[in-house]
Amino acid sequence: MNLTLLIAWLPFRQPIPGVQDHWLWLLPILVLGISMMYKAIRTTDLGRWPREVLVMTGQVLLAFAGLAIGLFLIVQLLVPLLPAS
Amino acid sequence: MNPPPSSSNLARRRSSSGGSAPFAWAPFLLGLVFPGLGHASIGEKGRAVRIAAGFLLLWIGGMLIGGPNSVQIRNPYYSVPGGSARAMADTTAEAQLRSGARAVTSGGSNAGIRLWFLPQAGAGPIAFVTAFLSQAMIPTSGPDLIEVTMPDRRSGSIDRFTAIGHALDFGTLFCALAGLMNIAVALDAGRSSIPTRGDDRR
Repeated sequence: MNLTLLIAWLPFRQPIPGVQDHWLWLLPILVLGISMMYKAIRTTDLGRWPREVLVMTGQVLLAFAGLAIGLFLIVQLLVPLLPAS
Repeated sequence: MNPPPSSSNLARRRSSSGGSAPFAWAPFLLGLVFPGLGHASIGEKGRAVRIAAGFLLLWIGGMLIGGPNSVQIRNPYYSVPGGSARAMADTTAEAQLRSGARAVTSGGSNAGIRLWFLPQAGAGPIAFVTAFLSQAMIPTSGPDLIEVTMPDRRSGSIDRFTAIGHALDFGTLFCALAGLMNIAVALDAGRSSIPTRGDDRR
């Protein structure tokens, strides 16, 4: 990310610079927020809330990674094997 | 003398005793007014704080990522066919009203409700206030406007800080998921059946 752009960034007025190239890093933040809200209503013992949030975040991210790997293998390996005609 | 039991406490008591619990509307509606308020109203302040923290992470994150374009009630004029005509009409509304040229804009396309705002509206008044402030923040004239070609190939002008691409996508998505999660959380506040909590395998 260009540091000059980041320094010149006006929060809430402009979109954050550099998102177009690094949008994948937003995924953990998104999943973390969802996990925080979900686990706040699902956890019995609130003392375990931070740990459960991190575990759920990790699980969701692993699921995303698994889906990405699966799709990569299908598109790159299986689809080229199909007959063209 | 003990205070009269609230509907949510009554519901919880009936639920724990095996009976069917009536839905508590007051915590549900309070949860829609502000994330976590519903749970705070039934005495679950710890959950309320955590709910609000998660919500604010998503909502403020979305606003930081996409800027004021993340939460908008109506589709922006530059994204719909005929939008440039509407934009021109907005800037010269007074002159057009005088010359009777209003039919040019009203017959074109009305930039309807932005569908992404529907899940965002689950955040309650926060969503509407944010949309209003966002609209006020986007300039309609001045040095921050740039010339662009509109979808109908006319020339038009938009704010030079308009979010596009992934910034707009993720900003909108963050706020939409915050709103959707808040609906689920508010429903939980209305149900407020604590004995079922923690059973993540259901």
